[in-house]
Amino acid sequence: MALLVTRRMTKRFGGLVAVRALDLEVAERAIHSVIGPNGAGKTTLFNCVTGFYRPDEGEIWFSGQRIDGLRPDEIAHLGIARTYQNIRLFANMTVLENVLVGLHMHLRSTWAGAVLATPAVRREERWAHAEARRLLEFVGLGGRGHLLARNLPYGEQRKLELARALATRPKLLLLDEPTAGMNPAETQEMIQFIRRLRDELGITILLIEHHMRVVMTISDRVTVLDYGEKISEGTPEQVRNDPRVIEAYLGTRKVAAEALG
Amino acid sequence: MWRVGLVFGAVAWFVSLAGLVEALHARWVVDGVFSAGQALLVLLLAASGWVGARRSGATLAARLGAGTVAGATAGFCLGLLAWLGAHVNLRAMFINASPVLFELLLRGRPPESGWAANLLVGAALGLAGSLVGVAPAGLVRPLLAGLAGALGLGLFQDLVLLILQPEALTSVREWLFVAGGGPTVQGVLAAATASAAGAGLRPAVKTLAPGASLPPRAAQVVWSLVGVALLATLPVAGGPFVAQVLVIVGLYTLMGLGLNLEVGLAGLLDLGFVAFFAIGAYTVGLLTSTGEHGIAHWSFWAAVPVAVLVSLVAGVVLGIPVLGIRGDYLAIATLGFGEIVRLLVLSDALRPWLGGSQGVLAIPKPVVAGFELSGPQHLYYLTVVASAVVAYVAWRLQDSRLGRAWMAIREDEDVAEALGINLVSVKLLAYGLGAAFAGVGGAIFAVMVGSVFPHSFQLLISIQVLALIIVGGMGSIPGVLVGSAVLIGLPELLREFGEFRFLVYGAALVAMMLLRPEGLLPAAAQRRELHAEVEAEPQSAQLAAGTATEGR
Amino acid sequence: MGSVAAGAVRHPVVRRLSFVDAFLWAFRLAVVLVVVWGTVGTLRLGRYTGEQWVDFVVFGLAQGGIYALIALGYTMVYGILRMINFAHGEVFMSGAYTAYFVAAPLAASGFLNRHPILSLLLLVAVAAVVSTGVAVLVERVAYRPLRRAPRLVPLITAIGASFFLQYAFRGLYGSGFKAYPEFELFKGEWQVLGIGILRTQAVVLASAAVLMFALYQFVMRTKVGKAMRAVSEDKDAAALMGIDVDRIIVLTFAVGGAAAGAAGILYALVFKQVHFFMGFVPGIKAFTSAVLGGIGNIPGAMLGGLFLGVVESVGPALFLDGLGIVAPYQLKDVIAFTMLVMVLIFRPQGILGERLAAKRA
Ligand SMILES: Nc1ncnc2c1ncn2[C@@H]1O[C@H](COP(=O)(O)OP(=O)(O)O)[C@@H](O)[C@H]1O
Ligand SMILES: [Mg+2]
Repeated sequence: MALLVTRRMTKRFGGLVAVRALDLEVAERAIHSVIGPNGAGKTTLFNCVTGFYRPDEGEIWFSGQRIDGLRPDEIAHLGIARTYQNIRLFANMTVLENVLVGLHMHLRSTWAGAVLATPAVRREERWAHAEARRLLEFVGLGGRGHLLARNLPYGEQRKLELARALATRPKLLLLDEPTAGMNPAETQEMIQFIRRLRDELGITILLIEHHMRVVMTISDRVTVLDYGEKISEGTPEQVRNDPRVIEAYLGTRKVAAEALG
Repeated sequence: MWRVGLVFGAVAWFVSLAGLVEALHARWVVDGVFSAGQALLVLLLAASGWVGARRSGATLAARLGAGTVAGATAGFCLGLLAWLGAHVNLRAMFINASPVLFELLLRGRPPESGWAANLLVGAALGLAGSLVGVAPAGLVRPLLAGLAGALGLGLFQDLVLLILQPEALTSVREWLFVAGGGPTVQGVLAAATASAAGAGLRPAVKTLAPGASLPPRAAQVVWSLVGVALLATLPVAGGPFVAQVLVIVGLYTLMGLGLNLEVGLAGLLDLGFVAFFAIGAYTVGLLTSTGEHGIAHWSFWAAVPVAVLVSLVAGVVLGIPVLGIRGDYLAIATLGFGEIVRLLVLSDALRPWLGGSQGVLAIPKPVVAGFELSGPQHLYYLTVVASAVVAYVAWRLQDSRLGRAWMAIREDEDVAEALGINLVSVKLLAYGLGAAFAGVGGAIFAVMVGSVFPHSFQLLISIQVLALIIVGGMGSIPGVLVGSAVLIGLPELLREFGEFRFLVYGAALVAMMLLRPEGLLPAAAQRRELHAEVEAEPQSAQLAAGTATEGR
Repeated sequence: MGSVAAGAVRHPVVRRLSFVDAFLWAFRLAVVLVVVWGTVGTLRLGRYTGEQWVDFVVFGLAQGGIYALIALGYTMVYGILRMINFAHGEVFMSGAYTAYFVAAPLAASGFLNRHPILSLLLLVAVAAVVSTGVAVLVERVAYRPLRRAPRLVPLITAIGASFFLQYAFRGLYGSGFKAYPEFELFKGEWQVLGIGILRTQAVVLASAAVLMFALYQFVMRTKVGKAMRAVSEDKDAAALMGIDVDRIIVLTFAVGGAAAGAAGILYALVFKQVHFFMGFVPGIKAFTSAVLGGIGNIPGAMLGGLFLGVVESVGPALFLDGLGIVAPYQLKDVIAFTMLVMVLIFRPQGILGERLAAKRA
C-alpha cells in the first residue's frame, strides 16, 4: 500500500509551473528516487509534501490522510521528516541541541514544569539527552555533541541533519540531494546508511539525487521530472532505458546523460 | 597613514564640537593638571598612532613612522579646529564650540603656534600609541590596565568618595583626593600602579583567589556567598544615591531579561517592548493609587500578580497579529504597536481613565509587615529579589524544551516548524513571558517613582534595553546584568555624561555589531565553543556566507 | 491509489479557522467598524464644510509628497540590500537641520526674501548635499562591513546609527527647536479653480512632484539608474555583467539621501521648525508609505506617500470626530501607525504588489 500519494498536484510561482499535475505513489518501505535536471521541480515537490508550500491544485495523501493544507508542524507530527538541499542546521546551537530540537514533539514538558524543575521534567530531560546521544552515535557523530553545529565539517553537517530528522521518528524521510558535495567514499557510506534506515528502522525514503550511480544502486523505484512534469517512472532499469529520459538529460545536462549510461 | 590620522582627526572634531570634550573637561583626572576631556583627546591621538602602526608595513621603523604620521595628522586636524575657532564664529552653528573648548585646545597660545603645538603633541602621542601597538602583550595589558585605573579613579570619583565616606577612612580620602576636587597626583599614581600590578599578576591572583583550591562545586558556593554578601551590603555602603542607581540597573535588568527571551533566544526583534513595562506600571498604578485615577486601593503585593498577568496577556495579544511577520518587518510592526499604546495613553481621549500626560499619581509604597519600603535603599532589595527570581526563571526556561524551541526558531523558523514545533504557541509564549518579566519591572518602577506617566515609556527605553542585551551578549543571562551595569549604571555614575549616553548607546550598538557581535559575555554555548571555533574558522566562515546568500 | 482513498477519513479541504485567523479577522473588522461608524457619524454631524475638506486633502497631499520623497530612499535601499535603513529618518533630519544655518543668515540679511526662489534652491542644495553625505557615511561605516551578516545584524546597526545620528546632531546643534525663517512670497493663499490653497502647500506639492519626476526619470532613463535596477534584480548577475555593485549601492544611498534632504527643506517650509528628533516620525511614516506602495517599488512609494498623507490628514476629522473622541488630532499619528501595522500584517507586499510565496527550501 502506498504511504505517500500525490494526485494531479500542481504548484505555480506566478507564471511558472514548477510542478504540473503530478501523480506520485511512494510505496511503504521503499527507497523511491526523484531525479531530473536542475529546476525540474523536485525540491518544490518536497516543499509541498512538508507543507512549506500549499499546492495550487491536486491532493496529497499520507498514510490514508489528506495532508495538503496542513501546517508543516502538523505534517511533522504525522511522521514526515526531511533534510535540505543546502544544509539548514541550527547553526548557533550545539550538535546535541540540534537533535534535541528534533525530539521536541516527543517531549511533554511545559514551561511551568521546566521552571519548577519537577521530577517528571528532569526525568524526561535525562531521557532526551540519552536519546539524542544515541542518535548521534547512530549517525556517527558520537562525542561531537558539545560542538556548535556551524563548526562541524560539511560531511558531518549532513549527518547531523539526518540525526535531527530521525529524532522526529518519521515514517517517511525526504532526503534532498544527501550526497551533494561528497567524495566517492562518503557517498558510498551515505548509500549504506540510507539502506540501513530502510532495512533496520523501516523508514520509507523519498530521495532526490543527482549522482546517477547512487540512484541506480539503491532505488526501488525512480520518478523522473522535467519542467515540473513526470516524464518517466519505473524501476531503475526501465528508467535508464527510457528514450524520453535520455532526451531530457541530453537537452540540459550531457554529463548526467552519460552517467545514465 | 595620514588617512587614519584624518579619520581620527574627524572623530576628534566631532567629540569636540558635540560637547563631549567640554563636558568631560569639568572632571579632573589629576586635580588642577589634567581633565577627562583632555584625556579623551589624548586617547584619540594615541589611538590613531596605534591603528596607524597596526595597519602598516612589517618593519618596526615603518610601523612607528606610520603611527607618528597618523598622530601628527590627527593633531594637525585638532590644531586646525582651534585655529578656526579663533578666527571664525563657529558657535553660530555649533553650540558647543565654546571658548572653554578652544582654551583647552590652545592652552593660552596664539592660534598659529597652538596649531603647531597640537601637531607636535599629536606626533608624540601617535608615536606613543604605535609603541603600544608593537609592544608584547605581556607589557601592554598592565599598561592599559594602569591607564584605566588612573582614569577610573577620576571618572568614578563620586562613587569612590561615597565608599570612603566613613570617618575612619578620612586619611585615605585626603591622600587620594584634593578636598572638593579631583584625585591627587599620588592618588592617580597609586590607582594606576594597583591596576597595572593587578593585571600583571592576574595569573597568580587566579590561583590564589578564594575557591581556587576547592573543588568546583564548593568554589561556586563560595563565590555565590561572596556575591550575595556584596549585593546585600552595596546600598548600605554606597548610600541612597548608589542604591538609586542600582535600582535603575535592576529595573533595566528585568526588562533586559524579558527582551532577551524574545530577541536573544527566540530571535523576535521587538521594538515595542517598553509597552509591557508601561502596562505593568499602569496596572499597579491604577490598582493601588490613592489619587483620582485609583480604582481599587489595593496593596502593592496584591497588585503585582495582576500586573504580571495583565502584561503577559498584553504580550500575547500584541503578539498574535505579528505572528506571521519576520525579521525587520517585525521590528517595525512592534515599534508601531508600542507607539500606538503610548499615544493612546497620552491622549486626552483616554484621560478620564489613565490621566493623559499627567498620568496616575499618588501610588503608595509597598509595606512589608507594617514596615514601609520607602527609599531606594529599601526598594533595592525588592528589585534584587525580583531580578533574582526572574533570572532563575529565565535560566530554567533557556535550558528547557521551550528554550530550545525558541533558539530553533531564531536560527531557522521553517526548519523548526518542519520538526514539529508549533510556531504559534512557541512565539506567543516568548511574547507573553517576555512581557511578564517587563511587567514585574514596571510594577516596581511605579512604586519607586510614586506615579506613572506616558513620558517614562518612550521608544528610547526599548532601544536602551535592546542595546544592553546586545552589549551584554544576546541570549546570555549574565550578559544582561553586565549590559545594564555598563550601559545604565556607568552613565548614571558619570553625571557629565548624561546628555551623551544615547550617543554612546547608538555608537555601542554599531560598534558591537561590527567588532564583537557575540557581546561582552556571550551565551554559554558560544563560550564553550571558543576553542573549537579557532580550528574550524575557515569552514564556518564559508558556511556562514553560504547560508547568507542561499538561506532565504 | 484507490486503496488509499478507500480507508481514509476524508478531511474537509477547507482549513479550519484557527484562533489566530479569527483574531486577525476580528482586528480587521474592528478597524473597519471604527472607520465606517466614525465616518457616518462625522458626515451626519456635518461639522466641516466642503472647503475644510479640501484643505485637509491639500495639506495631506503636501505632507504626503514629503513622505513620498523620503520613502524613495527606503524603497531604493530595500530594493538593493533587502534591509530597512532605519537611519534614513535621521538622514532627512540632518539636511534640513544643517541648512537652517544657511537659512538663518540669508533671512537676516534680507537675501531670502529678495531672491526667494534662488534661496530655496540653495537651501535644497545644501540639505541634499549634507543628507547625501550622511547617508553615504552611514552606508560606509555601519552597513558595508555587514553585507553578509545575518539579517538582524544590519538592522541593529541601523537602529544604532539612527540614535547615534540623533544625538550627534543634538550635541552639535543643540537640543532646542529652531524656527525656520519664512518666505514672504509663500505666505497667504493662491486661488486655484476658485478654491483658496495655501501657497506653502502648493509650493511643497509642486516641488515634490518635480523632484519625484526627476528621480523617476533618473532611475528609468540613465545608465546609472538602469544599473541600480539591475543590481536590485540580481546582485550576482549584475556583478557578472561588469557592474560595480559597491559603487551602485553607494549611489543608491546618495540618491535616496539627496531626496530626503530636499524633503527636509519642504518639511521645514510646512512645519516651520527643525529639531534633532524631527526625523523619527516622518521616517516611520515614510517607511509606511514605502511598504504601502510595495517596498522596492518606486512609483509605489510615491503613491503610498500621498495616500498616507491624505489619510492621516483627513482621518482624525473623518474617522474619529464622529465617534465623539476628544481631541482627535492627537491621534493623527495613531492612524498612521495603525496603517503601518495593518499593512505589515495583512499586506506586507503592499497595496499594489502581488503576493509572492516566500522562497523557502
Ligand atoms: N519560492 C519560489 N518562488 C519562485 N520560484 C520558485 C520558488 N521555488 C522554486 N521556484 C522555481 O521553481 C522551479 C523548480 O525549482 P526546484 O523545485 O527548486 O527545482 P529542483 O529542486 O528540481 O532543482 C525553478 O524554476 C525555480 O526557480
Ligand atoms: Mg532542488
